[in-house]
Amino acid sequence: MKIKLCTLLFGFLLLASISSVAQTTGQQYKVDTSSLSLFPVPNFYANVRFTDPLDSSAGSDLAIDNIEITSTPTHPFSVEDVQRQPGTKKGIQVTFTGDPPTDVTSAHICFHKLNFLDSQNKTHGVSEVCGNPEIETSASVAGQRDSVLNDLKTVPKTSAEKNIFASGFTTTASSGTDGGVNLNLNSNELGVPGLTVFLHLDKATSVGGDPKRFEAGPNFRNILLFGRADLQQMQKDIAELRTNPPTQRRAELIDELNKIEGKKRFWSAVLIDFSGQLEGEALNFNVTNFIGNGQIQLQSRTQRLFGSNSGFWRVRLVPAGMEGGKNVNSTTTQAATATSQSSSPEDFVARVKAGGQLTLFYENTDNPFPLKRVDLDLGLVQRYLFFKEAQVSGSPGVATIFNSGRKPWYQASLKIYLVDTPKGKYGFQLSYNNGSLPPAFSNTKSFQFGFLFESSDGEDAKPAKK
Amino acid sequence: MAMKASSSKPAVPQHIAVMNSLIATKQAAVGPKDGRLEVALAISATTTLVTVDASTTPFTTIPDDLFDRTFNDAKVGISDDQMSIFKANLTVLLPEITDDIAQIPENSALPIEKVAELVRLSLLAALKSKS
Repeated sequence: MKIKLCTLLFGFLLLASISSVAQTTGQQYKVDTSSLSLFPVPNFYANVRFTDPLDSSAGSDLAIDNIEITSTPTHPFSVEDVQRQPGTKKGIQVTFTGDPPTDVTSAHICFHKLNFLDSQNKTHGVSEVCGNPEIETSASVAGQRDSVLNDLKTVPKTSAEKNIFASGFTTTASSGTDGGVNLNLNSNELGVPGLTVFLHLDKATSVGGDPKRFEAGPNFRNILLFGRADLQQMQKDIAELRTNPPTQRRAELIDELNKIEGKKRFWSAVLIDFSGQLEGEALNFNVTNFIGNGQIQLQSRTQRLFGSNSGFWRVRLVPAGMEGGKNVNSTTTQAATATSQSSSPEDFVARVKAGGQLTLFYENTDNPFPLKRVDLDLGLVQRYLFFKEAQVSGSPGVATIFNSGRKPWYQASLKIYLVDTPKGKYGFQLSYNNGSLPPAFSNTKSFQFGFLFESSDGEDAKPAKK
Repeated sequence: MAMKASSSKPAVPQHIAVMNSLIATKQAAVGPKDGRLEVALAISATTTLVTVDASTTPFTTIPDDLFDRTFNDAKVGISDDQMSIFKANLTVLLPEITDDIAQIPENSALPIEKVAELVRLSLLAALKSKS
């Protein structure tokens, strides 16, 4: 068994290494996207985004005479300033003075010479880098905004967070488990801010490893920010800065902005959720409840891992949550005959819960050791049942029992990536689940191991599994 | 100069033309309101991995290529769950586009630059509706 596992692992790493050698990276040194905003000053400007990062030390890139802009019909464009866009190495903003023309149908912007950086941070001078900016006017801007919003909605989800607090708080794609499925879907396209619809399915075929959990319904979330007052002060400061105050006042405002931004706040928000949901024993609904759920969560800001730049951690606490509702079906199997059936002795469901989730992440691709990235997720939830509820056995033919009291659930997931290539990362995953989840409260104790491949664009895949 | 402004736009009274010119000069010194600083500050309020320095012109961020990354990037560290908090932060900083911010998908795989682009266009659209 051990030899087989080692052979599999060796083959997997060999495949990863070959894949690594086959990678090629290419630069384009072109305009990626560009826009020309024809609104009155100060919103009369052009934004140009390039395919590759620019060399920030090349001041000549920003010279006004390095830029030429023409339009149809022809209009003079008087360049006021050229700056790198903040927070990116790929963008330049050109601001103009005067009144913007209103009849422009197309434009052409050229940089006579630009200095790009390649993947080894070497500078490459490129001549005549040109683009045709999208024209933004008061007539077109609403449609252009909607187009960008539609683009955002098509971005695929990549994370695989598992929420154990029940009620659609995560938005993930499906990911396979050993002979089962863990599916978490969310939609916030209901037109009501804070309202989402969710569906969770956690089902496996292995005996003792199947939580038999299904739930679906709407969820309403309200968010209370710990830093609201600070953010409001920031908004006022930025608004005052935009009035171009005297130098001393400007310095005071910027100092205040930086002080507020630098505050060491640990918690970022309280999340208050209310949901109504149908929960059932996946996939036969022998145990089915209609539940109202309310809970409070405390979410931390993402924190640096031991103060380093190579990792982070964050925590979410659920200090209190309540679940209450009506049992609509508990037609359960009795004894080894598997023929006779009985109903729940209780009509109602009442539970309280508390728990927490800790995420730890480390990534250092320059690490000489074969430990490029580590993802660790730990979660627990403790439920207390005031009324007796069904506890479905994981083994076929074993009687379902009814009981109340404490029902814990623990989960741990560890992903370790050993090989990092431009095309993706290769590693393995360990996961452990223990406890029971509503409504079936089937005792679950499972340990899983699998190989991982995560492509560079974030798509997860699992090429092999043990 | 006042004569020139008056002759080119006879419908606008001279004193208003002068005022418009002064306002335009002042606004030009401020730079466009594109919401980029607000997006960076809203991210910084959600994760300590990102910092913003407003004392430079233009402002600077750590990481310096923040907008080239996605929210769930290792140097940003925002999860799907935290996207709703980022949106709430941004709504406080840019209350005039609350409805548009609410429509941003709570998907941490979104490129930050693309969200900044939506914010910029939303602010321009809000400017249009205000005028």
